[in-house]
Amino acid sequence: MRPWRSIRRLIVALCAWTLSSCAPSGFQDASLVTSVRILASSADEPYARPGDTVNLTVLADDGRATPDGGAPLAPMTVYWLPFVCENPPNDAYFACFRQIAGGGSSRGADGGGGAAADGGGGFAGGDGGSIMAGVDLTPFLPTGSTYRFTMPADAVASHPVATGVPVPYGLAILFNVACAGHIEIVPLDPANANPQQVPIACFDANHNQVGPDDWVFGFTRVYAYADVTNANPAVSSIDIQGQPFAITGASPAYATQTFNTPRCAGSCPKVAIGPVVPAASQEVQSQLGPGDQPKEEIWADFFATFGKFDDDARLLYDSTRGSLGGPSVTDNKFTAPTTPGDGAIWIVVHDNRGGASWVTVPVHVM
Amino acid sequence: MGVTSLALASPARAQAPNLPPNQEAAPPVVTMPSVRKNGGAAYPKQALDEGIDSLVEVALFLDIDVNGTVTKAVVEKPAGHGFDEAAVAAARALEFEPATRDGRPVAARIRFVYRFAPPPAALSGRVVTLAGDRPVAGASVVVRDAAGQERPATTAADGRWRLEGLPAGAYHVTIRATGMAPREADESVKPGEEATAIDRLAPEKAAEPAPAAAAPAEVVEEVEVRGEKPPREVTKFELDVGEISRIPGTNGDALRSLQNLPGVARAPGLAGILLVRGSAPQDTQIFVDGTPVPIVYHFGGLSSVVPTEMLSRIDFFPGNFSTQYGRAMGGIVDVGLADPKGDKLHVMAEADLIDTRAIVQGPLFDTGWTFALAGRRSWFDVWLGPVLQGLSAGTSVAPVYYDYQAIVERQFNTRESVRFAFFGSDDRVDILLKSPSASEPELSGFGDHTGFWRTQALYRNRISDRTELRVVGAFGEDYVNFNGGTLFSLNVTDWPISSRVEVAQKLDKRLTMNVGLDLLYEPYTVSVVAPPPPKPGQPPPGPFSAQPSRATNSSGAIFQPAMYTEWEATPWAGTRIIPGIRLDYTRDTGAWDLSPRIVVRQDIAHNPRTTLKAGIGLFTQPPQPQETNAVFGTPGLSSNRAYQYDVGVEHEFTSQIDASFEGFYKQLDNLVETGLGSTGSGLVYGAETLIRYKPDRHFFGWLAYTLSRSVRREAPGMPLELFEFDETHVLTVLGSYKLGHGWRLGGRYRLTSGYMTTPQTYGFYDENIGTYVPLQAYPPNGTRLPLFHSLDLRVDKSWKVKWGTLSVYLDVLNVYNSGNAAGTSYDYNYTHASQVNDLPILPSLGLKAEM
Repeated sequence: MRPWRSIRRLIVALCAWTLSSCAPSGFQDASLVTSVRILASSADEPYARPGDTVNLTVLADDGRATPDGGAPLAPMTVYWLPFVCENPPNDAYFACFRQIAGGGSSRGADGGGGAAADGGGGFAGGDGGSIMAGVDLTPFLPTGSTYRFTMPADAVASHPVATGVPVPYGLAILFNVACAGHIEIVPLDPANANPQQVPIACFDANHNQVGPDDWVFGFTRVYAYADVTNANPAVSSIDIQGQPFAITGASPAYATQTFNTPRCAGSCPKVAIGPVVPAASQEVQSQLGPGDQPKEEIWADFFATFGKFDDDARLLYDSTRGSLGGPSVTDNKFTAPTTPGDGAIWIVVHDNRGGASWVTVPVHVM
Repeated sequence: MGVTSLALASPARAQAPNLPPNQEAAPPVVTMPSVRKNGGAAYPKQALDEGIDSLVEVALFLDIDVNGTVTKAVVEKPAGHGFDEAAVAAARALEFEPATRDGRPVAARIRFVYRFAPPPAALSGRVVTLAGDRPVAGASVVVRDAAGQERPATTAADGRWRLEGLPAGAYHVTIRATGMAPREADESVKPGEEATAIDRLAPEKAAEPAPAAAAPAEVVEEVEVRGEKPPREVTKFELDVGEISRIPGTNGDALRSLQNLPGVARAPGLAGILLVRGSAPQDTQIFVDGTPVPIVYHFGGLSSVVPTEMLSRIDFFPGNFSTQYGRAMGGIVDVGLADPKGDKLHVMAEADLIDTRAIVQGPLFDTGWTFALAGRRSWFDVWLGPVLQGLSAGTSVAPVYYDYQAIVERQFNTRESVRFAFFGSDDRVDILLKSPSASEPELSGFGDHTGFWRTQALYRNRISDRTELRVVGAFGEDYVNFNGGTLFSLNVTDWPISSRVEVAQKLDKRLTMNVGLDLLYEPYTVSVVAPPPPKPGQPPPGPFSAQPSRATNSSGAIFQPAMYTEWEATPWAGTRIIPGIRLDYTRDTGAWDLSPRIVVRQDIAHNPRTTLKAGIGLFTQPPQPQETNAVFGTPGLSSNRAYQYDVGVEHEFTSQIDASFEGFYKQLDNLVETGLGSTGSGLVYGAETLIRYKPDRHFFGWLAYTLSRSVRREAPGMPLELFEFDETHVLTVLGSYKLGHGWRLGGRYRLTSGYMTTPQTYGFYDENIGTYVPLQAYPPNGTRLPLFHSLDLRVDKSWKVKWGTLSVYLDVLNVYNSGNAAGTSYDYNYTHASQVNDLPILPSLGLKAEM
């Protein structure tokens, strides 16, 4: 039966992916933050009603180390592109790039913090305007860790009806950039058919584009539903070695005390650490419509400024079993660095519907 | 051997006999030692290797004790060349009834002579038609030695003949068959050797009738694994298969030799697929005696599903093939299972680092039937797993494969035969993650279990000199069971029933018609357990499957009948024109596909021969079952289509060296594209050459080179892109040299273009799921990995022993451990890349015994 040869190609690809772990790749773990990073973003309404005001918060960190004797590094700034990309074709984020290259749209952009936060005009001063390459966009871009926008009133109505979608929805995509420098437009090459052409980039004071360690171009999706809601998963505490570690605040949250741990010397004990997420956080995926409605998947991403985690992510709840068994099962393992110092651990909890929240844990290595 | 004199040892006497004074002592009654047990002595191999092939006598003096045991053996006059040692060793094993004196056993010394007669040789062969390689039954074979003594033989229904018990030496072979020009050739054979030849008979005269047994005619692009078809092909080996089983880097696997032919691209290291002239793997069909089978190689591509020793032929058509084959746009591989040997029982066993196999064949008592049983099993799961664990690898791979063949055959007469065969293959691999990623705990590894079996009946009848009938039918099962832990599984099972009826009818001296029916009926079931793709209205699922896996089942049946006809016309000498047409029906799509084809061959020179050839044809391939399935497929599909144009020339420089050069061009359309329908199109074009040194006493080898380009377009208006399996350059140079004294050394060098790849670089961060999204180079598959190059070496050493032949070989793949790129792996944000390498140096040590 001829499908065998197609299936064999799939099997070979999967086996090759698996066998690539036969020998260590030498790559740095994704959980170690040693560059400019955006770790997560959270909307107070991951599912917003048309016309609602949505507040976004981003978790970013500059993990770069100043080179010994070198010049001070340019500070990192989080910029927001002050426009809402509404219902791009096929819900593809890159379909918004031509809007960015053309100056963006003012729809629903209210901005938030920062000098250019006032909305209404977008960074191009209006619909359809365009900015030349080489122009520092800093005066036009909101900055800071928060941003606010209004979900367009016609977000759901204007979204093309997709086959098999049980509940009508709309989509707003917002873009932000963590940049150790300033933002400039990068003109799209009309001869290049690559739909992923990036329309902006981060440049240093000499108008040289910076490298991957110095900037991140991020995006987040906020869905619009008339009647379906989604709450961010809640983190009630942090579990460390089976003991609760209190936190304060909510999305973002902070540990109330510093986590002290000995450095790795000789034997390197692993510390179990993980979030405690109450079962009530696992909502039903009602956007799937009546009938089969599994519960959410909830997982945690782990980041740290030093040391090493056994895993980059841990599953906390899945759609069939619910809780996987509590901290004793879901906790990650952290190995402290060999040198003492101070740093931080971030635990970001996601649900599969765009909800997110996080906890920052200060760490002191003795 | 014989005893020629006797010297007895006198027994010690304590005192003289006490006889009456008037009596004299009677003379003693003495008997000679008589042989009670004689294991014989084999003609020493050293003598054969040194070219000694005459009768040799070695005389020894043997001391025999009172028990009849030989206590000492001394050569009277050394003969050298290993005879003395052989005689002494054989003599020591002799057992005698001891000499007696007056009835009492006594020790004795005798002169004993061994006469070494060289082992008999054998001549055998197969007589086929020049056009189409059809067996010629009932041909007269006369073998005449230097003294003029003649020995006759007659070819069987499969064209084979054999004469054994021949003294070593030179022979003149004459082959005659009705309606065909006689063939004569000289052969020489050494003691213990069997010289085998394939003789191709041409029609008697240009004005004489076309070949008696017309066939699906010779096609332009037919390439036999043993190379181009010369007028006469001679192979001389000591009970082994010959050149194709000794190609370095193939571990003695004949079907892997296909990978060294022009038109065949290098497949990814573990894929085990055939890539023929820029085609997708699923575009090439594989047959066993006309029965379609799903795979040709075991998982990993290191071994084929039928061992070399069970094959009688491998026909490989890289394109523009006969109308007897359809449902394919790429190439055709049609292998023939060997008829079981009927002379006596034969046993072969072989083992190497990868697998072990055994074959038993011979006459089935006195029933007139012959049988063959063969089996093979891999066992590198035994040593590979511990090796990986020793390397603290993150995975342990436990691949296991086996294949089996059972054949019974009856030759009713020289014209009619029937054969029943049962054969199959099974592959299983389990990739177990030592530490399942917490990112997807349900993915504890992967398991793949694929296999097939067939029960086949083959009937051949040369009804008359003008009519030949061939019927083959088979049923069986194909299965694929793939799982990704508890997260995902795919189970596909089908039960193909296939049959093919062919009638070859000579209508005229210059015209032969072939008509056939080709039926395929294949019920199947499919079961898929997988998380459903995320529906619109939510982000991508991130590192975990966002919804529970769901089972989806479907079943159906493929029905694809076809009929075809092909006409072979030889209007004048050296010209052959073969038009044909094939009609296929595909029930799933309701499509009727008519495929006309024509091939022309014209000899423009003789001695040496130069032939021009050309072909044009339409080839259709129905969509795959999963593409038309009501649950998984797309409605409204039509058959994939390819127009093929070929032109080429063949030339024989000498009796040993020939070459071929061919250009090819394929237009593809109606290609099925996932999610789009029959919207794809493409082009394949290129040229290939094969320069070959045919096997002689010491050496064989060839150079194959292909230059090609293969492009595809997903739908009208979309850009033309390089096909993912495009390989611009494919160069293979190989050779094998017989050093003598049982030693053989071979090498193979390959240089090919790298695979296509789509580089990825630092892109964007998806904050909803916490992962980086790479910036993909455009267009896809627009960058080529570095050139692939590899040297493989093989060393063989064989010994002729009393019961047969023993061989040891070392086959080393990638001798200098070239780190050829097979792909790229990236870090979490695509800022760093690491090359994933193809197979490293891979030695395989093997041992083979044949009797």
